Amino acid sequence: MPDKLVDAVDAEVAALVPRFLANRAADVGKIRAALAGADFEAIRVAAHGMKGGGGAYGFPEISRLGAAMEEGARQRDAAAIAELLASLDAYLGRIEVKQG
Amino acid sequence: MRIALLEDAPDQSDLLCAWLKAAGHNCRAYALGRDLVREAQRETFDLYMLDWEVPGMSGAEVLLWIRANIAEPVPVLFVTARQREEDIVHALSSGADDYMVKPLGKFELLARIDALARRARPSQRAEEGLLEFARLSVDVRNRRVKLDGRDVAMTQKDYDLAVFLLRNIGRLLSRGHILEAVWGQSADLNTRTVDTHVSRIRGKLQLTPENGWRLSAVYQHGYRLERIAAIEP
Repeated sequence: MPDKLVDAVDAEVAALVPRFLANRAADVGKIRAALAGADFEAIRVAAHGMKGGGGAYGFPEISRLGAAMEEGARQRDAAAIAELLASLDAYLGRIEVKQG
Repeated sequence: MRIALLEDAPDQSDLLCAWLKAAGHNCRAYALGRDLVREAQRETFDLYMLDWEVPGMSGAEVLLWIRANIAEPVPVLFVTARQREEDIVHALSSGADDYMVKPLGKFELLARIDALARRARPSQRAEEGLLEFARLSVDVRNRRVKLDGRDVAMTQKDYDLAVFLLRNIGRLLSRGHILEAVWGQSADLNTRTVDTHVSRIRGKLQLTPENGWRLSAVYQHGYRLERIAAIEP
């Protein structure tokens, strides 16, 4: 695994990326709090949005993790969600955006 | 095209509108189904893009409203992260013309929008070089309008407005829609501007019932240009 993930984005998307990534970082906190409260519906909604958005911004891994967390929420599998959340947090921490 | 987008996630609506605008479309985004429905009662659009899961009135409910309340068969494209077969079947059976599963690919999205536009309004194709009617013809490539074989002198905006109406015969077009299409999305103009120019081209091109045209103002909505049987004066 490289130290830094570098994702190339189109110019028209570039200005939107920082907010997108900041919102995903905020999602980590929301999902963590929802997990503590066993609010699987809140997790499902956040994960569903992530599933739909990541790939379009050039971050397919975010979509993959979102899809997996959405399924985890449907299954009420807290352990799986926690593991996926840790992966998402780590992934976000390694992203370096380069304009394509 | 003027596209109404239902999407409650600002990340998504900003991205999709950026893609659409870069491709030359006008994009109006709504986070709530009821806001889109309220707007659709007084404005016209060339295409609706609907997400499914939005707060309040869902995309599926908005679709049903569109098909029940908008007479014109405006194309509807569902763009949603729901991917189960039963969801796709439900949307298409309820009246959606196409369905894309998120995450979206930009080029596929734009290609599907173009395909829907081609099927919905073949006369609006940009590559169509000549619009011909009984006494009226428009050479689009050379921006020339002829009435009974003689050139009609027109301002740029009058010409653009005439072509827009002639490419959308039979459609109700809101003043806002006309303003965006002819003057551009950022035009800071009163909608009375549209009324003034419509009046002018009605006279210049003789778009009157005697000549087989009805160019009518629809109260609180906009305009509709129709072909009718010529009425003897």
